[in-house]
This record gives sequence, structure tokens and C-alpha cells, in this order.
Amino acid sequence: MNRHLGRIKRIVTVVYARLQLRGCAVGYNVGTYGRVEVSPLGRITIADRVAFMRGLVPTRLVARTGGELTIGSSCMINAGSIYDAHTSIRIGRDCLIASAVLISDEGGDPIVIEDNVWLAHGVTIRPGVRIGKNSAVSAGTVVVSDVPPDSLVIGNPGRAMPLGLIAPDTRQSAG
Amino acid sequence: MNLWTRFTNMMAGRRLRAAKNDVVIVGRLWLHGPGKVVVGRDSKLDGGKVGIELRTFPGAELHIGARCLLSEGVSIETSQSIIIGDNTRIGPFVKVMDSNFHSLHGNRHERPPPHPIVIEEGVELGERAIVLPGVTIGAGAKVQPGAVVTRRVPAGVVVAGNPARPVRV
Repeated sequence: MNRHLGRIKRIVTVVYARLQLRGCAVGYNVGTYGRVEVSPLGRITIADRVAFMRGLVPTRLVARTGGELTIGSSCMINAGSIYDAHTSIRIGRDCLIASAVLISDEGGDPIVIEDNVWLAHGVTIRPGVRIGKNSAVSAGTVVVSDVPPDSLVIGNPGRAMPLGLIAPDTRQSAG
Repeated sequence: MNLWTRFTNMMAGRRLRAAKNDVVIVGRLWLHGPGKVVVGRDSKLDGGKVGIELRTFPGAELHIGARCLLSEGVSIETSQSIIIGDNTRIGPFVKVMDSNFHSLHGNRHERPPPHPIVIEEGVELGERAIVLPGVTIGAGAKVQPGAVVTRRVPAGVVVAGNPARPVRV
């Protein structure tokens, strides 16, 4: 029984996802472990194997009229993050997105987040920003400009440095 | 507050009040994980509309001192040990975590080793502040709203910004 518990839980979350993500284009094996609020006035596309985690605050997926929100496959998205697509927000494959992240392109250009990006707790992404693949964005960072691939972004305003420069055992890493 | 929240709160409260320490719990308290949680005398966990999350991983310890105040939306996640001293006030939506949960290099799903956090007595954490792994905050220090504490804060100092630096008030 215990062996199958994870799988049973997953099936329940997949069914729950179908209920919560009505009006979105949802892929195969998408699960919501917690509450997700959607307002699909535009188009919301969620690819395969995306997981929405559980938390205190619901995740909010908003696509305004004419807006487009795309989430790539195998992303893990924690609770309390807000996606507000006025024109276009594109999130790549295998991204890890922590709680309290705010991604909004209100009054600006589209946002692009490439594959395998890690956004830590409390990150804010400003409109028109493109984050390169394999990058990590540290906790509480406000990203105001484009980020090259394989970099770590720290601070407010966010400054990018190559990930290769950071020793693997750095104590204060992304968080 | 619905029935389910009331039930889970009751169970969480039982776990905390086992030490008979007059802890006041308002709103929702989400206590999850098998680790050890100790809350000191007369502390107030004021969950408000959002609730408070106290998460402990197996073998982890979370100590909250006496007469502390935790506001709504506070989330404390422990993988090893977080010690919060007496008379500490933690503002709304503060995040304290002693592990990064994902590694910067290689496989992102691998969990790096945790680094314990110590918050000494009389510390004030402002709204939406974030305390990162391995940080020690000295007695009487004040963290301004929105600050991201990445390194040791000496006693009695006011820090602000991201990354947090001492400021004069």
C-alpha cells in the first residue's frame, strides 16, 4: 500500500488538475497538489508532467484577453506564484519555480524564460526580460534586464554572473 | 474558517500545546513534516487570513522562543535546525529556510546539505524579508521589510536591501 501511495496521490492530483485548470490547454500527467486559480481570458497552455505544489496561498495563472501563457513540460511550480500575461509569457522545459514568484508583463514586452531555469522564492520578473537556459535566480531578486544562459542572478536590481564562477559548495547560493 | 481547517488546527495545536506553554494560535496553522517543533511560553502565532506554515523534514528541529510573535503568511522550513530566540517578532510573509532545496550545479533535483539558522532574542524581521541558509542574526538586530539576509548580521544592527547591508537609521 505504502509503495503505491505516491502513485495514488498523483492520480488524485491529475484529476484535481482537470477540475481546476478548466479552460486551459492541459497536457498529459499535469498534477495540482494545491489550489490553482486560473482566469483564461487569453490562452493558457500547460505542457506534459507539470506539477503545481501545495502551499498557503493559491497559484494564480492569468491570461488577459489576447494574452498568452505557456508553461513547458516537466516544470515544478510552487504555491503562491502569480503569472499575469498581458501579451505573452513563455516558460521553457524543466523549470523550477518557487513560491511567491511574480511574473507579469503588464505594460511591456513579452517575457521568455528558457529551459531548465530555477527561480527561487520571492523573485520578480519585469516585462521584456529573457532568462537564458540553465540559469538560476536567487531568492528575492528583481530581474530587470536580460540574463545570459548559465548564469546566477543576485540582488535588486538583479546582476548576473556566470554559474561556472561559483564553487559547487558555496554556502550562500541561490536559496 | 471551514471545518477541515479547524480540525487540522486542532491537531497542530495539540502537538504544540503538549508542553503546556500557553501558545496562542489565531487563524490557520499548517504544521507539516515529522520533525520536532518547540514553541516557547506565551508565543503568539497569528495566522490571520493566510495562515502560518511550519515545515520540518525528518530529523529536523525548529525551536521558537518565548513571547515570540509570528504574523500571517510566515513560512519556516527546516531541514536541520532553526533556532529563534525569545521576544522575536516576525512580520507578514517572511520566509526562513535552512536549505536551498535544489543544487546550483548538476542535477537540480538533488538536495544540497542544509546550514542551520540562528535568530537570537529580540530580533525584528520586517514584512516579506527572506533569511537564507547558514545565517546568524544577532540579538536585537532589525531586518527591514523586503530585505534578503545572506550573511551574518551582528547584534543590534539594522539591515536592509537585497543582499542585506547595514544601514543607519
